[in-house]
Amino acid sequence: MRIYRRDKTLYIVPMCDLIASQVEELRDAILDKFKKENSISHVILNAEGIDVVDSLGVNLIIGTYRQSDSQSMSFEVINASMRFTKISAFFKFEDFFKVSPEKKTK
Amino acid sequence: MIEQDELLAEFIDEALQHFQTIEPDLLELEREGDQIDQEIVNRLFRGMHSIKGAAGFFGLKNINDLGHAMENLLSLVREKRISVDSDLVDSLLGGTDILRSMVEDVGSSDTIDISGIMELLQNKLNTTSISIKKVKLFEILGNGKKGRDFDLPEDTVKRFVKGGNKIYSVEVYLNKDIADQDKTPFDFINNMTSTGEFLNISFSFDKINGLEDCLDNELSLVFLFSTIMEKELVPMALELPEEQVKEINLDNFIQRIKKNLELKPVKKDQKEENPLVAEPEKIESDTQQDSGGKMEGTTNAARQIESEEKIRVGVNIMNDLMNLAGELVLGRNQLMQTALPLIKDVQGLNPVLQHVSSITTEMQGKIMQMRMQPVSALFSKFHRVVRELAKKLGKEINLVTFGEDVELDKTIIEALSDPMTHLIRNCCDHAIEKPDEREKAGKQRQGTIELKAFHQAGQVHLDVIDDGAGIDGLKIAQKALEKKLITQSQLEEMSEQEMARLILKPGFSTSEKVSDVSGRGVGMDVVQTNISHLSGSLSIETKVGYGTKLSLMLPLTLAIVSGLVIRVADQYFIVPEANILELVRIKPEEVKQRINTIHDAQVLRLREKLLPLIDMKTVLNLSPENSDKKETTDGVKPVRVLVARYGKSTIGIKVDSLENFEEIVVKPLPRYMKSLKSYSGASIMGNGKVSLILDIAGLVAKAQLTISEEKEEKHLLNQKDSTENEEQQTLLLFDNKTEERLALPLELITRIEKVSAASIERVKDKTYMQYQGEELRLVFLEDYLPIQKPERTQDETLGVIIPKQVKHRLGLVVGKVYGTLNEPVHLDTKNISSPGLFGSAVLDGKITLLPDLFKLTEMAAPDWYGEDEKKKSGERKLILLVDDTPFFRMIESEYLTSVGYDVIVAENGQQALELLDNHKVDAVVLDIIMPVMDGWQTIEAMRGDDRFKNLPVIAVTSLGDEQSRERGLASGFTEWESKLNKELLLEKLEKMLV
Repeated sequence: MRIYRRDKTLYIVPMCDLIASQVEELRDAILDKFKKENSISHVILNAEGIDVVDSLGVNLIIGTYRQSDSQSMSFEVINASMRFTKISAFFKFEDFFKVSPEKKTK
Repeated sequence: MIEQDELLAEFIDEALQHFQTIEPDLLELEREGDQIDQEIVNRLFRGMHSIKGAAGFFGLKNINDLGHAMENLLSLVREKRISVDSDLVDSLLGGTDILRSMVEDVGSSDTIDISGIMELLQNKLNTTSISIKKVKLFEILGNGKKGRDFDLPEDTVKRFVKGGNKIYSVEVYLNKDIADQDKTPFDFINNMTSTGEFLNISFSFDKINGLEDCLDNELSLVFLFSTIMEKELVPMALELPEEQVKEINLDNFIQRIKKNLELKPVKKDQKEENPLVAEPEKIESDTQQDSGGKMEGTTNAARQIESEEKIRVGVNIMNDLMNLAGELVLGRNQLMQTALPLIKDVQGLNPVLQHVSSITTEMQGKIMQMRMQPVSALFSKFHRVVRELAKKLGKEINLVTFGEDVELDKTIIEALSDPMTHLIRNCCDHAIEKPDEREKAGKQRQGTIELKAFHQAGQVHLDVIDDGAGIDGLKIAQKALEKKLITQSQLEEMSEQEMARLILKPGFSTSEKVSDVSGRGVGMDVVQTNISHLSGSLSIETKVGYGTKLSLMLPLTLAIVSGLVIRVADQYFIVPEANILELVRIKPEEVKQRINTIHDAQVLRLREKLLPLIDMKTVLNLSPENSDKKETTDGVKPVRVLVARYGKSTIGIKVDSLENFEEIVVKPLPRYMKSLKSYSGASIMGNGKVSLILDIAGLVAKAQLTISEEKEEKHLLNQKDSTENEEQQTLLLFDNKTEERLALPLELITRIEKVSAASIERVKDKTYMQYQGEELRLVFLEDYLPIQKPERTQDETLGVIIPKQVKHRLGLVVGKVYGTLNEPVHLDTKNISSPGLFGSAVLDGKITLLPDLFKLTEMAAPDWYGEDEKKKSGERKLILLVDDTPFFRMIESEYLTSVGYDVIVAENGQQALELLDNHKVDAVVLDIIMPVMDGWQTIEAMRGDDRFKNLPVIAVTSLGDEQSRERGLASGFTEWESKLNKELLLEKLEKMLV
């Protein structure tokens, strides 16, 4: 898991499935970063390496979006795998934030 | 959390189920046009709405978009804003096809180009200048304040309001309300759609405010739902907490509509008490819709209450269960055979065995029941097939289906799809004429194909009946001759029906050209082969100029069947019970008289028919030295014949002995035996030995038997001397372990069981045995009839006769069963008579007592028959009983007088008409086959006479087939019943006399 800042953008790169056994640790790390960092205007969840998202994983994504929104930050997901995209469609994430699929490499 | 793949599989299943009704409903829509039953349109709309909604739920864009466009069109149909024509239905059917193909391959659905069909549907929508106006509505919260808002189409809301519906927002938590309750989202949606209509789904993230609380709260779905139910009932119906259901405020909306109406001039004929009728010109349809909407809600709610809880089970599991049940039955049979000799020595073994046996039978029955499907699953697709073919061939064809609820094993339904499709295609292509030709022939321009399913004699019958040109037997035979399928001499011997059957020969086709519809020269023989593989048969009846009836007879299931074990040349074979009509033993001295040889083939004379006889030893080349050695002193053996059903014909099979009935598990033949067409499979018997199951059709083919009953019957029956003109009865002869002989009409008997006396159980003062998983009450004849009392011991084996045609089943305990006897019965009712006994007759040179089976059961169980006594106290009615046979006259007269009717009798129709002139008769019980004037002539004469036009007449006849029954009812009979069925005769008579 990596959470880092570049300019005014906060990058969250879990590099693991968003499942019950992982989300609490992830949530605490993201929350900690939100508290520490100031002047962030954009939050990006890099979904690279996320294959499985369970119900708590969905809650974490929505929680991160809500947190960003409440602090007037925009939120988006990048590098979404096919499975992640399906989950995104299922929960209609794109009604709230942008979800971009992973870039195909040659 | 519920896995998405599982949900998707559920979606596909559900959607495919919707397609099963969508397609036939669209065809109905085309037939009925604007007069269509509103419920069908509603069902179409709901089906499409569900598919669209669920597709949106999964982000399946193409399915959602196409479903949405079709739903919009159906909405216009529902609101009668678009006229229904063939073109519109074509578009909807086209859309359905694409939608189905996308559902079947959901993964690729978004890669399919749907622009063409979308454009087509959009053009249809554009023609009605539809504009969807939205209205914003709010939830009412507990404190009366506004909650969330929703944008909904105004027309839809108007429709609900007019129907008296309310709209609710329903919040559902995926885990708490669905997964934790062992439900799937589809269970929930199904529940919802059975009590109302859902409009929209969205996810609610309202409970999550940020990272702090995101793991403590659950996501929810918000359904917008319309129903006639009051708010208090909705949580109960949907099994949700009250706080998750909120009503949508419609007051402002209703006020607004009322205001609009006040501004408009009200027409005189407009119903003032319904201020919500916005479009005066649509008053009629809207009113219908109103009541329809309410009814729909009510009936759906009722349906919900009645519906059983269901779960889905994979076919593989079902097949495994079926195989295991088969193995269990085999194991049970073997256990019974092995343990039976030990019953006496091991205390308590018998009840355990009986328990295991009954549980096995019950479990096997339930598993087989699970595999049964209604034939509607098969029939429904043919509406589309006929429609498309009719269009292609320039014909007008109407397909009518009957008996769609009749059930068959899933395997049979699936295997029937191809042969049935072929038959239907043939009907459309060859049988039904072009409209102009039909008109010239004095027929309606539109031809009709009827598909009928019904049960008869433990089998399912599927009839394909057309009113087309019929099959020209001669033309068929000429063609067969040209193709060298038959010889000239064979042709000369053939009847018209036999000629028509030539279409079943391999390589036969009369089509002038090979088309892509039919006429490829293969087909009907393949159909016949496929039906034979299902242990079924196919028969053809045809009349040139009038049409053709193709009848398929099929077993209910293929996996476990009841079969009779027979022995021939020391080898055991099994004949499925469904094929068996009766068992006949011919005494040595009658063999010459009753078995004749015609054209090198043996025939059996059985009552008024001649049956082709198959000698299994010859046909199957079984070793003659092993055959039955039992001969009488003059060298002639008694002959045992198993009378079997072969299509609509009957044949006799000579066997050495008849063993016992067993539940057999059908195993396929090994590959190296597949070419032996005389066998349909194999089974392991209770004694552990393997037996082959006979395939009657294959055996007939192997024997090169030509069924030409008409000619042979005429040939031999012409030789009958006058003494044979008396009607013969078939009786089962038996004793009661004493010297006295007794007999019962075979028609009254279902089967005969052998039981060990030790296995009979006594409860209070009554005796029972285990039979087919239930307790069967036993009746000992000596307890009710004036006959000798036999000595009974615990180690003896008893016969139990199981009667049929009685309201309450019980078993008659008898001693030795001698077999059947076929001769005229001269009943003596004076010398030996008592309650429960008709009298006596000299049969086979001995005095034989004839018990009155119905009276006997009434005496044994008077509590079952208390109702009948009441009739005696009412007004006495006079019944005219017409039957040429003294035996039946006597029995039926006894039936009628026993419940208080006055009876006068006639021996034929002519006598009956004379009696009718002089008596005030309340009803007539009329036989059909009689000398001088038969039943057909009598009913014609009666219905042609104004005095007897409405007189109730019930036919009581041995003609029990469906065709005769239909003909009878069409000829003017009020009811049609088979002989000797006392309970049904009295029941129908009582109904007729009300």
